[in-house]
Amino acid sequence: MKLMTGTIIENSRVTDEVFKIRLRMAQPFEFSPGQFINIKVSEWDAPLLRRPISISRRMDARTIELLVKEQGAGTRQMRFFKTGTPVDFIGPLGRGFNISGFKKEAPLLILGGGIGTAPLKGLSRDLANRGYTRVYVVNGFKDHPYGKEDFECYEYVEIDESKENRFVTDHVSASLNETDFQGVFACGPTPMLKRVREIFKDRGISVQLSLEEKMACGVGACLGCAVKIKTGPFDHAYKKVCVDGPVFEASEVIFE
Amino acid sequence: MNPLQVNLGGLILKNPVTVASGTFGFGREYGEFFDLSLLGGIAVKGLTLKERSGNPPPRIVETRGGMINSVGLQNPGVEAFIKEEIPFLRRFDTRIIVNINGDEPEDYARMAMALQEADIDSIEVNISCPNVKSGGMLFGTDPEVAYRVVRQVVENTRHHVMVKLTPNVTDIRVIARAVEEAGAKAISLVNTFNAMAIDIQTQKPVLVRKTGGLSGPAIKPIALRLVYETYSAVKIPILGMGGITGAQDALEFMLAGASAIALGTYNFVDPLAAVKTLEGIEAYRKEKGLENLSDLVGKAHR
Ligand SMILES: Cc1cc2nc3c(=O)[nH]c(=O)nc-3n(C[C@H](O)[C@H](O)[C@H](O)COP(=O)(O)OP(=O)(O)OC[C@H]3O[C@@H](n4cnc5c(N)ncnc54)[C@H](O)[C@@H]3O)c2cc1C
Ligand SMILES: Cc1cc2nc3c(=O)[nH]c(=O)nc-3n(C[C@H](O)[C@H](O)[C@H](O)COP(=O)(O)O)c2cc1C
Ligand code: FES
Repeated sequence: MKLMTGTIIENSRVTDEVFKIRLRMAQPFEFSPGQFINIKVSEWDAPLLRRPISISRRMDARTIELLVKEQGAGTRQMRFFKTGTPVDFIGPLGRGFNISGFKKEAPLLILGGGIGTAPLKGLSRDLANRGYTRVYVVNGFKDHPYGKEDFECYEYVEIDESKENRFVTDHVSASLNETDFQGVFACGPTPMLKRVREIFKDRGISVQLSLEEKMACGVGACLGCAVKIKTGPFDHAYKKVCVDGPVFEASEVIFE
Repeated sequence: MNPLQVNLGGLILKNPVTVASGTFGFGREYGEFFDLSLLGGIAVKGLTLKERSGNPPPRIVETRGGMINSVGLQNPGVEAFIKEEIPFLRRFDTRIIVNINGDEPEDYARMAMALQEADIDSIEVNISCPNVKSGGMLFGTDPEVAYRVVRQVVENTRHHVMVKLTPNVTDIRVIARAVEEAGAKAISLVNTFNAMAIDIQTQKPVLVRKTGGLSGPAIKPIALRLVYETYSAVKIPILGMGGITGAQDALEFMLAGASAIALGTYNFVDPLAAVKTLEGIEAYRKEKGLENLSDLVGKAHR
């Protein structure tokens, strides 16, 4: 992790609420899928704290893309970040998805919910680049699906929840018997992640969930971003989403 | 002589810029951003006798110009700190300030004893944590209890003893005098202000324990006033903090009566804030032609 500056080379609308920002650094920028950056939003400290945003995907050695959904004051200001201006951020942060240990032909499943699809774009491309040939992606959106063109995979299913009466997890449950998934990677709202964990509970495969919690420092110093994680059969501890995560093995997560 | 050196009641800091307990971990994280030897001192995350898991999330909520936290003293316990963190911190030329906490008055004396042989520079007695069920801030709001807690630490340690005060009192001078009388060598203030935020969707307090501690720029003017008041009430020196973002804030605290200062929440905003604060202070000293920075302390009282 480092204190860095990037220059906005693009900030454009994706849907009414979602926009994408391309940031170019002076030097090549290394990261792995699932990692995030902590962005200083306002020169005037309003809001005061940085905002954590996943690195959605790599454009070239020095350029990354972020996908942001407007939620409140911080993300609203990001929406107005102007092309050509510098952005101060700390990154790359956290532990991303662990994609070692799978066979290249193993069926792998990527599950995204809404803005949670952001880090999964880069993940799908990374898996493709490394020669994984059977990556299934199921993404659900409350309305106006987006981002399909940026995924690289074997099969892509998009669910528009405003038109269809089902969720990502319903699709997965229904098609489970057809494919013997060896690994699952999910990012989305907490109810979705809980359901994903339930579905794959006793299958003995790696199910990796990307979690969110409010953050102050983003680097492990404040203990603000705690999540309850199993540390043994009867033990648990609060771990930090910013350094121990944001990606955790589903079997270890205790949702409170 | 080093013109930035300050004497905090026997604890000599090479410069007045320190970082506040709970905002800097045990130094490892921010050590990735700058050389920790630049700091006058580091107050480590609040410790307890036994490991503590802390409060359930959410633990933080941002409010205008500040944040409310309810971390609840999550820490590995004093023994693990001694074994694992002191050797790391000692690699740097800076003062190690150990923030201690307890559920009952006797815990503080036990903590002091546990730290007796440890290679540290100061004990900061935290009688001001708002985020725990028992102890904490309760000890810092009653002058008699405060006296008793501090006295027990002083009697059981060879180390420099500093006491961290809560701003959540009617008259901070009463508590300040009590801890001075008990033998404290310095006072640090302020800890966070009791505060709350409510979610209008769920119509419930955001934090599980309902209230937490407010820190950050929003509290600075009040913290400054409390340092000013404390300065005129006691003879022992003050480590001032509360919303400091840079040299200007830091200098205000010194003029109000703080011999040294600490940055807390603003480290999160700018990991280099402490270093920049030091640079700004040094520039001011030169600009004003001050031979010793400590000549500034309390000047606003004239
Ligand atoms: C590791 C990580 C990666 C993230 N990646 C992305 C991303 O790629 N794209 C994206 O749009 N968003 C992402 N988020 C969420 C994003 O950080 C929050 O939406 C943002 O901080 C909200 O700030 P705000 O000032 O706009 O809204 P606020 O006014 O602060 O809050 C608006 C709403 O968002 C919620 N919120 C605030 N902070 C967070 C947070 N840290 N996590 C979850 N909810 C929060 C609040 O509870 C509130 O309901 C990520 C969060 C984490 C922890
Ligand atoms: C996340 C967080 C954790 C804290 N933990 C402690 C602690 O363990 N012990 C303590 O004495 N003070 C603790 N504090 C209080 C700070 O040390 C400091 O007194 C307070 O935040 C005011 O300074 P600031 O406004 O610069 O942050 C904590 C503050 C924050 C924001
Ligand atoms: S955000 Fe500070 S420890 Fe994770």
